[in-house]
Amino acid sequence: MSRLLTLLHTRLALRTTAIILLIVGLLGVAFLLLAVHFRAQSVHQEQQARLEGLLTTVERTAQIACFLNGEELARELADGLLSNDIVHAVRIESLDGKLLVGRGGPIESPSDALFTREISSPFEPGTSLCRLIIDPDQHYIDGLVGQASRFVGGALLLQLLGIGFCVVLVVVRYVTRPITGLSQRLRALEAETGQKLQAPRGNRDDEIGQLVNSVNAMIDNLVQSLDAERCLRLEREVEERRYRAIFDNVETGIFEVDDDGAIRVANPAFRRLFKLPAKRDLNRHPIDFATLVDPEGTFGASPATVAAGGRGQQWEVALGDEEPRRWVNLVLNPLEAGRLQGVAHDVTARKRAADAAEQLAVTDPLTGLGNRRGFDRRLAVMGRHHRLYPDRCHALVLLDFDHFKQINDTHGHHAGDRVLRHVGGELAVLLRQRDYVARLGGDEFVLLLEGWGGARRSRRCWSASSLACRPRSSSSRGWRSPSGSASEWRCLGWIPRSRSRRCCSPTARCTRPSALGAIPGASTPPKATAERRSAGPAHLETLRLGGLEVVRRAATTQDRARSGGLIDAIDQQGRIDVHADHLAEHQPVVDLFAGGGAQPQCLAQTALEHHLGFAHMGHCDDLRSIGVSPARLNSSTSGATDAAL
Amino acid sequence: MIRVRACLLLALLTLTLPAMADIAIVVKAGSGVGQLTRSDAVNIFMGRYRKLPNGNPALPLDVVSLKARFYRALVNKNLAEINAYWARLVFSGEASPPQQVATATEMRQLVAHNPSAVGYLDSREVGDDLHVVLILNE
Repeated sequence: MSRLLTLLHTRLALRTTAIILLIVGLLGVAFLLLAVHFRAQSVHQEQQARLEGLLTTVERTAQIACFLNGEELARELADGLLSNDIVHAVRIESLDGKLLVGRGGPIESPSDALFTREISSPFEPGTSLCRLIIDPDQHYIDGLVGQASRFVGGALLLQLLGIGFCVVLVVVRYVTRPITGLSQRLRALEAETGQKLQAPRGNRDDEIGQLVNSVNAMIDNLVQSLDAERCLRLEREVEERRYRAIFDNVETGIFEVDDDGAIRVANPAFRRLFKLPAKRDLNRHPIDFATLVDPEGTFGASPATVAAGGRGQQWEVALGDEEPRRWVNLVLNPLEAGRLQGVAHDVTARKRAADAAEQLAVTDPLTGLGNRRGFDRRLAVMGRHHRLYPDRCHALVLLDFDHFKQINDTHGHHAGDRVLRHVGGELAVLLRQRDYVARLGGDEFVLLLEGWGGARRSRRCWSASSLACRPRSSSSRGWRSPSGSASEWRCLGWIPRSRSRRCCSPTARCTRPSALGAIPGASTPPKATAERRSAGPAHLETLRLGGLEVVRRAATTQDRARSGGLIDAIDQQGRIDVHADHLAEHQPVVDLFAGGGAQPQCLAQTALEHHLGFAHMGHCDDLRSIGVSPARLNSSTSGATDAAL
Repeated sequence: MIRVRACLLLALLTLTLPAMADIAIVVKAGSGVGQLTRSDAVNIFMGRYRKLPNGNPALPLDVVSLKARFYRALVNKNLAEINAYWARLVFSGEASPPQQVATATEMRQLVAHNPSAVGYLDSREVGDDLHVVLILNE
């Protein structure tokens, strides 16, 4: 049974035949029933007609027999009827039920199947005399019906078998075989080579031909798609190789980070950059990005922020602890879900260059101090600082030489440069780390002193340290020995508080040059600090003033005549003796952020008068009178310095 | 010639006229049979009844000259049919046909002497010695 079902399932012809046979069989059964029914009816009718005919034949004799009550005649008649195989029994009885004759045995059929005829008198047609009853032979009739039915059934069966056979033949010949052949050809077909399917002969224009055409169209599409795909794959391979070469050989580090922040892919450049072993399989042993790049979280480089923000980010991180540190620029972009792609550049050189350039941009090439630009920036920084902490007081000191031009004129610009370098060095040594000194140009220096308190404190500061000391009487310009009474020495610069004890004492300030080098509290000449060079000429003397070392020498008359009094001498080592008279005279001190400024002369006078070299702006707001407003000072540092100058 | 034709026509007419008269079924007067129905007459002449209503045996008589008219009037059949009827019954012995007499006179004599005899004749020829039991209209 299952085998039959499998066959039915796999064989189209068989299935079709079975279905057709089933349908034909059902229809045949229905037709057979109908045919048998009608055939039986017709047989019955035939037999009835035959019986009628028999009756009609014998009616006249029966009339006479009835008329005469002739039993002999009636028996003869009945025997004659019984000689027909259709008649089973015959009875003739009178109307009152008296049996005239009964032949053929008892009546077996039901009363409705009996043939009965009233027999009238032969001479008086209206008068019924007796009744003739014929019992038809049902077995015989049934046999006839059965015979007819068998015939019809057999004919139908034959027809059915014929139809089924024909259907199988037709289906096999015209449907199954072409389809099977097609299927075999299709199996053997190499569609990717563009080979076409051939339609079976005789089926080119029918449905199977259409099927073949459709398959061929599909093969065409397939081949086209394959070609396109192949081209794309080739292009892609080339592209990939190209990118692979770039990936492997580029000097930029390329890497990929997964969702957990682990580096999964890295090119050789990246490995070199971060000193990863070239053989390390990052897919198997990933490295945490943050640990590798930014272990202390200094730069905030984290893939999570990129993944959360969905936008690329860029960081510059420093690698290594030893100086100089290497700088790496990292760019991280979302690549796909759960993947970030990053690029790492070694920007150490650029960073250094930028730093150097930055440094260069704010450095005065001559002295190594800040220049005008550096000063501006620093002033802006201080301005911001002051806005944050308004109670802190800052100071700006402008310095220039008197008659500096004479140096250039007398000794040449080279000597002037050396003077400037020297002074710059001395100023740099004098300053605290937070302070700033710059050369604005020419012989103009500016000091930015950060974190000076209020007026009172400033004053105290200034009293504890001296920016500019000069004797009241500056009539004599000659330098004398430190022990000399009429010293022309002038203190230059401001000495940080921490160094104040090595500076001039308040009492000694600005009165005698010897006091400059003096130990606080000592009234003796500064032997400890001002030492005479034993190896040098006797008239040469080097003074140490905190970090300030000034070599002084008794100026010869020639020198003085040559220098016009500005420079005392230039020693054999090329060091310049500067006549202190030319330094720090009449220099303004401006409190930048408390507002206001002072006219330089005015400041200088004030400084001189108060032995401070300094004026608090609260005391002197004459700067306004010369047209410089505090606001302008605040907003424009260059304006401030210009005004201050 | 014309006279001959006229005589022949007359003779025909005279022959035809008595044929148009009714036929009477007669028995011997005083035989005890009053009237017969038509059905009784059929039964007696066609062999079904063998007795008269008064119990006497019935002896029907056929007059050859009137036979055709009589059966036509009685059962509306011709002589051939009547002969076929009797021919069928002869071999079975069920019944026998009426006795044949040649003329009405002979029949009259037979009836007059036999009370069982039943005959028929033209109704105009009925005499006193005969009793009419049924008139058959033609």
